[in-house]
Parts: sequence; structure tokens; C-alpha cells
Amino acid sequence: MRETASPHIQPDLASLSFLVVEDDPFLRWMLEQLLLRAGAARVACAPDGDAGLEMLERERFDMMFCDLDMPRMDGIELMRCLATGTRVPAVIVCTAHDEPLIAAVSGIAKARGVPLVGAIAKPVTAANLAAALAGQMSGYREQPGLPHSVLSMVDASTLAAAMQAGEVHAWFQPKIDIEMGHLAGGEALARWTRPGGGTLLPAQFLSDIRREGLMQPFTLLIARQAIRGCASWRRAGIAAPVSINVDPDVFADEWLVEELSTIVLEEGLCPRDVILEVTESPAAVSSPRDLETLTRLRMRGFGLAIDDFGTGYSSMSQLVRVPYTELKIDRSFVQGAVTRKTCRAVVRSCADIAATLGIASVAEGIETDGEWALTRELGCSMAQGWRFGKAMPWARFVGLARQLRKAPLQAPA
Amino acid sequence: MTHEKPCLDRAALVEVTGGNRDLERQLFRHFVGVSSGDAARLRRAISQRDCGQAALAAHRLRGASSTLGAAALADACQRLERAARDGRMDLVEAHIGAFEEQLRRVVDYLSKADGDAD
Repeated sequence: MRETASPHIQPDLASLSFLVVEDDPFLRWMLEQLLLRAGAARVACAPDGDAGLEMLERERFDMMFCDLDMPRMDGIELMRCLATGTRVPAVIVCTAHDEPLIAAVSGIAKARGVPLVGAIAKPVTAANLAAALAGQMSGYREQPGLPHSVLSMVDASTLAAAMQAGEVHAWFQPKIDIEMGHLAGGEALARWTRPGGGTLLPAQFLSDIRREGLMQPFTLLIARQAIRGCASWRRAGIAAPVSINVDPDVFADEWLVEELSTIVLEEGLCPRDVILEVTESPAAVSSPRDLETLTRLRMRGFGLAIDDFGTGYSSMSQLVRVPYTELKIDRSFVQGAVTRKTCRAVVRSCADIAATLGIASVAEGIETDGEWALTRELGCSMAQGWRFGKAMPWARFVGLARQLRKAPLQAPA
Repeated sequence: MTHEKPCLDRAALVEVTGGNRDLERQLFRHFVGVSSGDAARLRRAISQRDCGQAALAAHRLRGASSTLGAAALADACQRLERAARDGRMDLVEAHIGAFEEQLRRVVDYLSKADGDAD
């Protein structure tokens, strides 16, 4: 699961300090001006990586804007140096480069433990800046272990109250049978609808939940809504499983297996109606304990999906160790496949591996008929993405499911 | 009075500044200052036959002019930058005239607009 934010959510900058590391004096000035006018509490500028690191030694910054192409020390090297420091700011990269490169940088940042929270496309404009600050970034992954959310910094009581008040809920994104064009499942995605307006994506509040130690109640809340949603669409005659994202943080906990089994029973479903999606990450499935949890879930009949396959840590060794039932191919490969031979080869190999193992392969991030046709040709069994629908409230999802039952989508030639 | 295309895309500029007139005015002044420095650097690099420095100055000028929404000037800078990167000082010299002309138009425009805004 990885999603882009809607640009209308404006974070509050008044409590944040920024560091701009950019070698071009004009762009440096421009970013400084835009940040100050957007209400930033403090903006400091550095003309190169060395100067930036020096400033970070002296002062704590909440967020750093970092040019990728700089003479002497480029943005990637800067992030490497950053990772060794104690006060790591959240990073937004500024770049004229295309998505695959941003995705690569995102992967590097993740490996280094640097919280890369966004990318801003050049030229730097007020509109681009607002989008980047709202968390809009192609190829952006929510970073486990963010020091704090740069967007909100919501405290435990606010979060708990929001969950209590029903502001946090599960929406559903359709998964389509790539060949037949009918509904093959729904992925539950958390949304936080704030009373003042605006709907937040997981990337915008998960770090708060994690920091405040609320991952268990949050996981159970979303799981219950997801399973209840699935039960009611089954009663409406729609036989499709529901997928739930499970954060690596909760694997180690004993309650997960029992709680999920109980909810499934209470809602009148079988474990096989529920697929748990596990994102690859260094933290994921590293301990015997995590492996034990996942194996027990599988033994009870739950489906297990490996999310964003190919982007994370030791994809292959995870695939060998954990009894997955579904492989979700990361959107960066899927979207790159139309133009890049390498991506095409990756998607084909993933689909082959899944077929050999007799498990499902899901092409994530399908936005066009061209991507649909190609991933189908490359052997994927399911597809998910904006081409078929964004995450939507339960009622709309059921409406879509009914419509697809009457008239499945025609796979493009 | 003239049939020339405007050298600045005002609609694009609104996106750059978020419609903030004060920022727009400052941006104009800042551009005039920065571009005159970089243009001087570019001319010096050409007289010293230094392709590396010429490419760097042209690159900066291109970034600033595209931020400003001065498309024709940005194109002229890009041609200079490419030629300099390729080590083709002859092409840099061939393109410098067009660049100077576009820069003059943009700077004229900005000085007038600045006066209007005040």
C-alpha cells in the first residue's frame, strides 16, 4: 500500500524549522521565500552539503529540503552523512529527475534510516511546494520509524479520541481479476476524516500512531471494520476477500493471531476471506517471533500477501521463509514496465515466481489501459490501481462491486 | 504596439508565487540582480574560452529563467548550456547573441512591471 495525498491538505508550518540545501542561489532564495510566506517559523539556507551538515551540528531542524544534483557532495551522499548524525530531520528532495530515480533515492534513504517524506519537482513553485508538503510524492513510501510526523504532531489523546469518535475508518480499493475484469478483492486502507474537513492518508498519521504506541488499537479498529465490511458484501452476494495491512510493529505481539481469529468468527467469516498484507522492511519478519506469528496466521487459514514486492529487504529470502499466498508487485515496476525493459523483466519474473508457487500475483498501481494490457501479457493474475478505482467508502465499494458483477470490465486488447 | 510574444508567462508566474504580488515584485528584483551576475560570469567564461564555467553559468540562468516563466530565455540558456557541455565554444558564441537579446527583453519587461506594481 502506498498512496499519494490530495494537495488540499495544508500542514501547519508555524511550529517547524527548515533547512534548505541547494547549490543554485536563485532556487535557494525562491524556496526560502516560499517557505517563509507559507508561515515557516525559521528557514536557514546552505549552498552545499558540507555547509548543511555543519548547520545540522549546531541546530535542530524539523525538515530539510535537499537538492539531489550538487557539486562535490550530492544529495545522496548528504543523506548518507545525515544518517550517522543524531538529529536527523525529515527530508524532501528537490529534483528535476523522473520517478524511477526518485524511487531509487527513496529506497536509499530508507536503507539509511533517513525519513524521506516527499519530493518537490523543479521548477520550484508555490504549487509544487504545497503539494510536496502535503505529502504528495510519486514513489513515496511511508517511512517506518519517522522521528515525528512533520505534518501534524498529533498527541496520543487526540488520536485516541479520533479513533473513539469514528473519525478513523477503513476505505476499500478494488482488486480486479486481470483476465476477466471482475472484482477479485478489496484492500482496506485507513483514512482519518477530520471534523474540520480534509481526509488524511495513513502516511500522514501512521507515524503519530506508532510514536504514541497506539498501533495495536489502530490495527484492531481497521481490521474489525475491514472484516465487517467484507462480511456485509458477502451477504450482498459478492464473494471477494478483504486485504488488511499489518504493520511490522505488531508482528511480535501475541494478541494478533487470537484477536484476528476472534473478529473473523464474530463477523461470521472464515480466515480465508481475509488476507494480511505485510510490507517488506528491515524490521519486517526479521525475528523468529515474527515468522512464528505469520506462520500461525497462515495455519489458521488467513491469506498472507507480501506487499510492494521487489522494493524492500531480501524479497526472495522472505518469500522462501514465509508461507505467502499472494505477491503484490510494486507499482514502480508496474508503471515503469511500459517504457523500461528492466521493469518489464522484473514484473515478468515476479509473475513467473508466483505462478510457479501457485500463488496470486497482483500488479499494483495500474493507472492506464496500457499498464493493464501489459501486466496481463506479462502474466500477472490480478490488478489494482486508479484505473479500477481509488480507495472509497464501503457503500461506494459495494456499488462498484455490483456494477462489476453485472458488467465486468473489458480487458484491453 | 508590438507583435512580439510576451517574454514572460504571467499565468505560470501565478503558480510560482501563489499569486502573491509582493513575492512577485521581489522575485523580479532578485532575478534582475542574479541574472546580471551570472550573465557577466558567462561572458567572462567565453572570453577565457572556459566551457566548464560557461556551462555552469548558463545552467543557473536556465534554472532562474524557467522558474520565472521566461520560456524563450530559458531555451536560449539551454542551447548555451548544451553547447558548453559539449565543449563547443564556437556554438556558444553562435548562440550568445540570441541569449543577450532575450535577457534584455526580460529585464526590460521586469523593470517596467516593477514600476507598474508600485
